[in-house]
Amino acid sequence: MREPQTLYDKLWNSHVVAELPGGDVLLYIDRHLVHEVSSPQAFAALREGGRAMRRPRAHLAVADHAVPTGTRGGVIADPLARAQVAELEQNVADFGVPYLALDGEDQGIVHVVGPEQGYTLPASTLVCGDSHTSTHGAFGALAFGIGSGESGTVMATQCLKQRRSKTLRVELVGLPGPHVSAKDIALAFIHQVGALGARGYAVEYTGPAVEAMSMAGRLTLCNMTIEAGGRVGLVAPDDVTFAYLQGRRLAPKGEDWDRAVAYWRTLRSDPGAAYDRVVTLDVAALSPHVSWGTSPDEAAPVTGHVPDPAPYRGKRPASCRKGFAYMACVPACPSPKSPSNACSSGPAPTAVSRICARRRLSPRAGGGPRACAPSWSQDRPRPRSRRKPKGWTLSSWPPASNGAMPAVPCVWR
Amino acid sequence: MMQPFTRVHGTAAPLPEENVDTDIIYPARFLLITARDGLGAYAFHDRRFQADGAEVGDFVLNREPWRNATVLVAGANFGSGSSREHAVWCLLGRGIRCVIAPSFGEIFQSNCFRNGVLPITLPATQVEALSRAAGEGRTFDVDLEAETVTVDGLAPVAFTVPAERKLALLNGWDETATLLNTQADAIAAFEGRHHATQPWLFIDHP
Ligand code: SF4
Repeated sequence: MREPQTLYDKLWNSHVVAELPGGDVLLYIDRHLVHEVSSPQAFAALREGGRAMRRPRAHLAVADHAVPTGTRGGVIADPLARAQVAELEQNVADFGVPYLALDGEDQGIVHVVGPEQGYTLPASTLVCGDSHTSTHGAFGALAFGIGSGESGTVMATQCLKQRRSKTLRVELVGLPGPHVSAKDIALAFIHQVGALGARGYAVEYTGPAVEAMSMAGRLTLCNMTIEAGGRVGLVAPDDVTFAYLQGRRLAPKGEDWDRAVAYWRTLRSDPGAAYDRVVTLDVAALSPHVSWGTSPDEAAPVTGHVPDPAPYRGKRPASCRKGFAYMACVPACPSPKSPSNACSSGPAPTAVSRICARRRLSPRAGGGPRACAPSWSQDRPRPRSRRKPKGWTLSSWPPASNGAMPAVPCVWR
Repeated sequence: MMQPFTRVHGTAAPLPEENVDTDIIYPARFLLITARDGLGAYAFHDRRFQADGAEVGDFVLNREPWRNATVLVAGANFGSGSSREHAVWCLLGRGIRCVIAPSFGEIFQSNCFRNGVLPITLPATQVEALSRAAGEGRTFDVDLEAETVTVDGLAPVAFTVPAERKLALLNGWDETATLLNTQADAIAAFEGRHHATQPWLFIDHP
């Protein structure tokens, strides 16, 4: 009888092209999202080597990192950014790569357009020159971030040399209470295992809380996996996944759709499959989390305390103090008892209480500002008619009266 | 295309700080540059320069004898964070060919191997000893063939590198070229099988 397999095992095994000496394997890559920042050197390497792209139309390009978040269609003010986007447009034209135009309706953040277009599919392998590529694992795709050189290899060979990861199952126990979102679960998980806790592991999220979660929530969980040090986040595809995908532009149609869904249903980890590590997290007992520092594991429940730097989890006090200073946070400050009295409690206007104030004003934002993730705040059934999804909802925050809080830019990952 | 790595001899700069991420190595705003060469000027830019462009005097790469270091002895989780390969290109641009640390960001480490920079992982205590020696300005000799780091006045330290990676570094093999030369048939055969199981993945030839 066949050994029970995890979702990760199934995805991995079905993409092994060859075993290489030294324990690496050659892994087939179905999907490659291309953006302007990490691709120019990959295209340059193709040209230098006189190489063709193996399957140019299997890739999907979009400019999203160096583009203005507000207006579209005009001239990009920054000359370097303008040149970078122009270079992408030239490259996709030269090599015949499908491109979502900057002023088109479908343009958006690379990890949002993949799902929106039905480009991200269960049982596929997907890579992108961006560490948040783990996001796409929400669909049961084996997705991970790569460097520009690897992008060039994928373009030329549709393959990558990879080493198998260990597997970590995060078992979410119970169902979250009101105001506890996927971002809170992610922050609690990272806080529990540390910012390097999932390093070397492919992380699979399981349990009733995941099953009950919308695609937005699942994308958030998988997006944040890299913040725990894990390159791959996974959720087994189910009816929620299929309902999201059906009818999307690049999703299978007709008979293919039925065959695909039947295949996708077999991906779920087999009962009794062995993981290298299992972490359980009682989500029923979770409170909303807020960040007080600059590392993703520096978060606390609103019912808890901002720690005193000295004894904080073996971290150097200096690194904690750096976070406090950046967040204008007071060491050992008790955070508010509940989000509803956030603004009025606490000895000083700490970052925590300000974050809570924001959460109360805008609970759909679903998380602290430091963890930079697109706001898949709601599942929108057909997003085609809207403009670029905004990855960031901080424009009107913090309140203008508070000069102490520095602006928090979106850090390119 | 890749510069082979056989042996590197020179001073080593100690940077005993944990979690030096790729944004510290290569600040995000320079990602708008689309070239691979000439990025050395931006390596550790915001550590090396003040806002007004003046050098930060006490940053190790601004001081002698480490200004032209060829080796970096770093802290745990060096090169974590973003996948940007610029972090490796800018080190190369400064002449840094080898980084020794207790652990590395995964993508950064693989980017190093692909660009002729040798990432050496050693236990923290050994890295600390090497870091002290680097701080004393001693000369390092990194020999990939023998897999040893030899520092003046210290016993040689052995390290290991995956055999495949070692071969590629020693010969300056480019990974894409190697795969195209050795795996073309395997890739084509796999594609045939894969198309039969999941035809819907082949949006380019329906
Ligand atoms: S918003 Fe965050 S997740 Fe999205 S692209 Fe920027 S860094 Fe990546």
